[in-house]
Amino acid sequence: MKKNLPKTVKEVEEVRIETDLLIIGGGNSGCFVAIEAKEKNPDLDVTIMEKAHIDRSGALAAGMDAINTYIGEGETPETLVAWSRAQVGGGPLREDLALSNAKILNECVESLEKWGVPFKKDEKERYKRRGRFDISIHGEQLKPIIAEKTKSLNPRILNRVAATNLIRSGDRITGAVGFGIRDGKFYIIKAKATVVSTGGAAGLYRSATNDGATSHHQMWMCPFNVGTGYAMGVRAGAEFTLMEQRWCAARVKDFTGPVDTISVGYKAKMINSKGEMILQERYAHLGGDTAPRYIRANAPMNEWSEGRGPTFVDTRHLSPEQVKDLKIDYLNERPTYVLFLAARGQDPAKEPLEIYGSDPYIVGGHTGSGYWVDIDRMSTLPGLFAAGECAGGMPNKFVGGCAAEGVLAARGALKYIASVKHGNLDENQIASEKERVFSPLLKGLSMEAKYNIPAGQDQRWQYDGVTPEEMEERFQRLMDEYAAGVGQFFKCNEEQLNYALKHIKMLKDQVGRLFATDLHELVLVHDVIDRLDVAEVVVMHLRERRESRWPGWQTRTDYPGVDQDLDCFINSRKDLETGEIGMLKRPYEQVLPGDRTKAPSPLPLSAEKS
Amino acid sequence: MDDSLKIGIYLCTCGGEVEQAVDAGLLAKEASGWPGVTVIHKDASLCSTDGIRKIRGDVEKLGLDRVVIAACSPFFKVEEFSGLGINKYLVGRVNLREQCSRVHRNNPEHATKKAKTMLRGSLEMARHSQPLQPLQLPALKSALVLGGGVAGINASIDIAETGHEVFLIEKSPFLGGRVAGLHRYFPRMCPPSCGLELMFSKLKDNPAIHILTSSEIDSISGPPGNFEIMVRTCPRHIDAERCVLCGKCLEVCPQNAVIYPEGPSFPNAPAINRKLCIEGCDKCAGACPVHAIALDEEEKVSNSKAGALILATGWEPFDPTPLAELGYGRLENVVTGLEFEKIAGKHGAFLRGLKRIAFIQCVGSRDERHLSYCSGVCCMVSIKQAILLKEMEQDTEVYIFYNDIRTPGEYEDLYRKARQAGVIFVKGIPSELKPGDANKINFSVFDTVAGERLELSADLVVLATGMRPSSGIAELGGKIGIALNKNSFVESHLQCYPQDTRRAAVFSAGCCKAPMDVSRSIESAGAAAVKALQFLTGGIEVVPDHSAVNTLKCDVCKRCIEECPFKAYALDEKGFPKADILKCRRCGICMGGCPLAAVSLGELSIVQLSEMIDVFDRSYLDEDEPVILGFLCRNDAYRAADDAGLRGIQYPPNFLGIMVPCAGAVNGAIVAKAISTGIDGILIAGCPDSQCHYIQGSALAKTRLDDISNKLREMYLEPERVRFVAVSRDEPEKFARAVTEYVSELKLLGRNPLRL
Amino acid sequence: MPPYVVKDKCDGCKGKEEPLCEQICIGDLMTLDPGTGKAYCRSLRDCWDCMSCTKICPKGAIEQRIPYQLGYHGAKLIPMIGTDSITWTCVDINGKVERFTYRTRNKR
Repeated sequence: MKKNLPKTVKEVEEVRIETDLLIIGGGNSGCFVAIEAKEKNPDLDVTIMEKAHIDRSGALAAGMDAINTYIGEGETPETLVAWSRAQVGGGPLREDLALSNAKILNECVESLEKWGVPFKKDEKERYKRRGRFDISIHGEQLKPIIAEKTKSLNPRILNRVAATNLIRSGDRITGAVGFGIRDGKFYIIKAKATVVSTGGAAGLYRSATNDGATSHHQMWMCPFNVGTGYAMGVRAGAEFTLMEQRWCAARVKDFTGPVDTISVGYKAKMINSKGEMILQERYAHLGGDTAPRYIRANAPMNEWSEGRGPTFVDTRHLSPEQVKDLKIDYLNERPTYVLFLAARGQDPAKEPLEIYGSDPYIVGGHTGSGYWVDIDRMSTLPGLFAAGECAGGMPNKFVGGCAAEGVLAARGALKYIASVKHGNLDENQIASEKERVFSPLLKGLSMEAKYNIPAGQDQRWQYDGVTPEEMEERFQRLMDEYAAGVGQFFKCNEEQLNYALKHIKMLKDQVGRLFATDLHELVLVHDVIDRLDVAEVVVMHLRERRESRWPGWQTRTDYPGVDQDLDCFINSRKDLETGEIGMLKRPYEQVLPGDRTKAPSPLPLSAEKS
Repeated sequence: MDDSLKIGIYLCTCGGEVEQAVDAGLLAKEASGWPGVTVIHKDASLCSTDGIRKIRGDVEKLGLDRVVIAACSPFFKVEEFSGLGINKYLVGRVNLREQCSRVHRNNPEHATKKAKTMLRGSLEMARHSQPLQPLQLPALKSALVLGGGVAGINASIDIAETGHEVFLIEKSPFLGGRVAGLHRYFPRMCPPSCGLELMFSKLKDNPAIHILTSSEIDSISGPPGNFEIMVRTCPRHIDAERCVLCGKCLEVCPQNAVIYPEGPSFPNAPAINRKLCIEGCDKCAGACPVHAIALDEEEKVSNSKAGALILATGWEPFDPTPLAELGYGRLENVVTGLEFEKIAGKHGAFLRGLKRIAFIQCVGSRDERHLSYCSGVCCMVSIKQAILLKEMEQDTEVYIFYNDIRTPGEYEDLYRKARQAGVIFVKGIPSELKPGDANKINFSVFDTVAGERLELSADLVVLATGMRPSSGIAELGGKIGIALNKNSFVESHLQCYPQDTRRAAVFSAGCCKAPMDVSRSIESAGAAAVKALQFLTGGIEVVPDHSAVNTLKCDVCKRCIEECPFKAYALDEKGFPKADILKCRRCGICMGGCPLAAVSLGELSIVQLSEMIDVFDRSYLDEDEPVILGFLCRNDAYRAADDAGLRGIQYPPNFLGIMVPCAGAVNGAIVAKAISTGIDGILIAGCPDSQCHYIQGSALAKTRLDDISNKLREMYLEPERVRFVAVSRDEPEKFARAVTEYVSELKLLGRNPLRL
Repeated sequence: MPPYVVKDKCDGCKGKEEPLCEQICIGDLMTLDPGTGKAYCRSLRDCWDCMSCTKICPKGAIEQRIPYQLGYHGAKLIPMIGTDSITWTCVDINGKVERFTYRTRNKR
């Protein structure tokens, strides 16, 4: 509905809010930031800026079937971190961050149960484990429950407000701006501290199952997490790390849904067209079933590229009860996978389930991509904190770890808030941002008025501009083909990456041509702009890491081996003067002794002791 | 679950009555092991002084947090069990006698099993109950009455005479309403001036009554008890205190702008309609000998505050012009009954000179195209007028053409008197009135009693037209937020709450709620005044058991706002729907309709119902015996079920009845949960549609059950697993039959496939 | 993956401003057609099939469908939401019915 859309920038109404703590993104970790901050200091003015509605926003929208990080009996924070390190082939990772997270992880996870999330239990009433650090839950209501807890503490919640940029005052971040998706207003939030918790970036690459018409968003990660948190940081000159460590996962084919549910939860082995157990046959030297995560993730695509596709997880050993449990797990996380099986008339106990590579995602809750932060989760820009998937350097956080990151970011922010006063807002910066945010809409509306094309025709072709969908499709294909997408079996070389960079720059020059004819399309416009900014950094990182440290996640056909000189963090920072992305290296610091590539054995469980 | 709560269970055998079917000893034994049960006591007479003392003692000694009483129906011994030394909202009742032992006498084993299930459920309900303390809300002591006809005047006087301030608002420049324009009124046939003048003097003498004529309501805001009313008043331009009614202003006015009172009126002075004046003309002011005219007076808006409102906006006559065959407006000597009153008052000589006068009844009435109802007064009006004519001139031929003569009660005397006076009653309505010679009206009519066609000519034809509500009522109703019925009269529940509107502290009196005669108008004004006075005590004590929205769950879809029959909801300062504690009638229709199950009543919450369903044993009788969860509306079905108990009507023990305020209070998520977890059938029993105390509760319950039923069908489950049945208060047999039939149907369906 | 709104069942959430599906949709895709007062999905291709709209709809008016490119027609997945439970019914293209019921919230 087009009610009262502005015709000029001047007509756009402004909403100005002054708050102590601004949280951008009210998903899992954003809510935990708010909860922790309000519980520690109920008088603190806390504002959540959320693009959707916090009841069902972020990657948890559909629910969750497991908490992938919980330190159960026989494990310690140290074993979790060492295991996590081995999962990423020994790193580099920020062990300092990982240890601080692991220490408060369990209380965060347990609080979910206290608030109402049903956890599955074993015969001894302990959390039911499905993997070493995985526990099973009935998380259909996970996000609504977290949202209810958040609301009970009375933060200011701005649902349907999309953040577009941080406000910079000197080096410090003093708030952020955004626009109301329902009310069309421009929100200017002045904050003593700002936390970005917008989730990861999906939709940088074309999904293998993207057939256009009705399956454009057939992908694993929430497609509405477009990387705005990263993009705003890039534009503000924050430092980023490990942006080349892309989450390329094995997913159920065509549906592009999770596979851990089956492979971890039900010990289903990956097999190829010949019926060979892939990990056992080809990756025994890397640990077989316990090989690093990127190896397991990349295994199916390797089989395909070498002519042994299709690939499956073998579910034929499952009992009818297990199949039912398996389906319940999916219903808790991605319910339509059960519908997908039904739409193919497929019984997992009779037929194995086909798997394939996903499109690559930048998700710092899974790999190490994200903001370079200190132990308080403050970024390189004072006043700006990162939580959840936005915080970099620490892979394998998942739902529990991202919640814990929220708590830690809140604590860091509280400390910072106690030491500062409100900063200034640069009104020139705000005015030009307002212009930038709304001009695609004003352009679209004026064209609509000018052309007045009768309904029934595809009006947009006749306009002198680019729709966000057009640009998104162009750019996703570019990334897939030239920046190691699933279509290229996740592989790339210097020339391809240079090509990608060249065209990303050309696309960025075309951004001024984007137009929107309503507020929903305006969201799409800013989504694609943010994705472009993130993609540029990702490609720069991919180019800079001239080795193949985590095959699949990052494979260079021109540099196939591991380069010991690159056993470090590759970081980037945009130079705000020149607009160029500058690259730098930061050393890896090992905190936990021992072989970085090996996970320590757990202590024996008490059940087994007796 | 709060396991730390200490709960006492008290089983009453009711002098052995309960034990005729229920093994109370076994029940006590089993219940003693349930979570939180601190004490369990069996008694032959819990409601006796000793019984009450025992419970009170336990509450004090053991520090009980909750008490569950398993005894007779919760409608019995209410007072006794409210004084147990514990907040009465923390006391649960289990209807062991009327809805278990007495209705399952022939099956003690099953009765005991059912009793156990009921008790277990109530324990859970009690565990999740919340204590409630009455609140004192400030309220104003003044009332506002809208409409200055006989109903409004009498309501104002009744209220003012008890010492309360009253604002009486009248649209026209004079009080007195329609009655002021009558010549005589029945049954005593006296002139209305006599009664009106008595009323006017009471108004004048009472300083608590503030009269605002030429006034209308701009807006009404605020909650019941504290209404704020903006009143817009047009100036009269004539000072009523000075005016001597000399009539000079009327004489000199070139524009007919002076409105002169026609009958007895108050204030007793004309008014000037400035809209008709020629600019600059001030002839009237010059002519007035007492300088009572002030042409520059301006419109005023004033703010009145009142705790309660009475609507007495009256009626207007049906306009017979659309009935072209009757020639009204076309033929000179065709007039309405109301016009006849004027003629009778001022032109008696003219009437005396007429040879034949005909009254035609039911003009536009009982006719779907015009007024579908009978106004109930027109017969009496015509009979009154016919008698007057006969009294004026014995020889005048007076005909009354009718369909049915309706003269209930003692009004029959007047009918008889008219016949004796020689008024001719003809059953038959003239089809067409035609102009005849010398202004006569010619018509023919078929006399259905005599079976012959009459050709007649009359000097005057009087059309007995019905009453319709004043035309402004729709707009006013919108401003106040009340509902009108299908005939546009102010809606009320007629039988149970005849003076109440859908808005708390707003009452109706007189012809705005239904057509009525003067005496009934005055009666209803008194009744409305009494109702209004209940809100004018200066403070209102309310228990906060009204519906409350859980803002942690609410997403503001506004369904509650839309579905509340009493418009009790508005958005609060944080943007969430909130029911006004005084407007809310505790029906729970919002609780039943909330898609997120975010609304609860103080006395009955979603959590209580949900947790109760959890503890019900899905096969408390036998593996293959279906279990039915019944939601019984408090006003009818639950009482019918109690009556079944009192009368010992037997039905199968597969039924567990839960009392809800209204069928509309049952939320779909509760039904879904029950079905999902293996309850075999859901029976919602509410009032028949037209009897619903909350207007649309039953209808909404049916719609919502239909939705669930459709969903069950799509889920390849039997849609019959949910059912609505309409049961009146006096239909215990129907209730028992419905349960019995449902049990057998469910047995045929087999157990719920979703049973875990 | 497209949600399909059954027009006969949708009542626009009565408030007629922002029905629950519009409020809850993470992708800002569900919205109200002011002409019909019924909800619809403005961009089928952009749906992530989280089923939040399907679950929250009080009238059971929204069905989730598999894009034909990926699965054959005729299968259904219907959630029924209780206060603290959910029951799913899944019907496959051969008419086989499966049901799943479990708690979604802990006991209070």
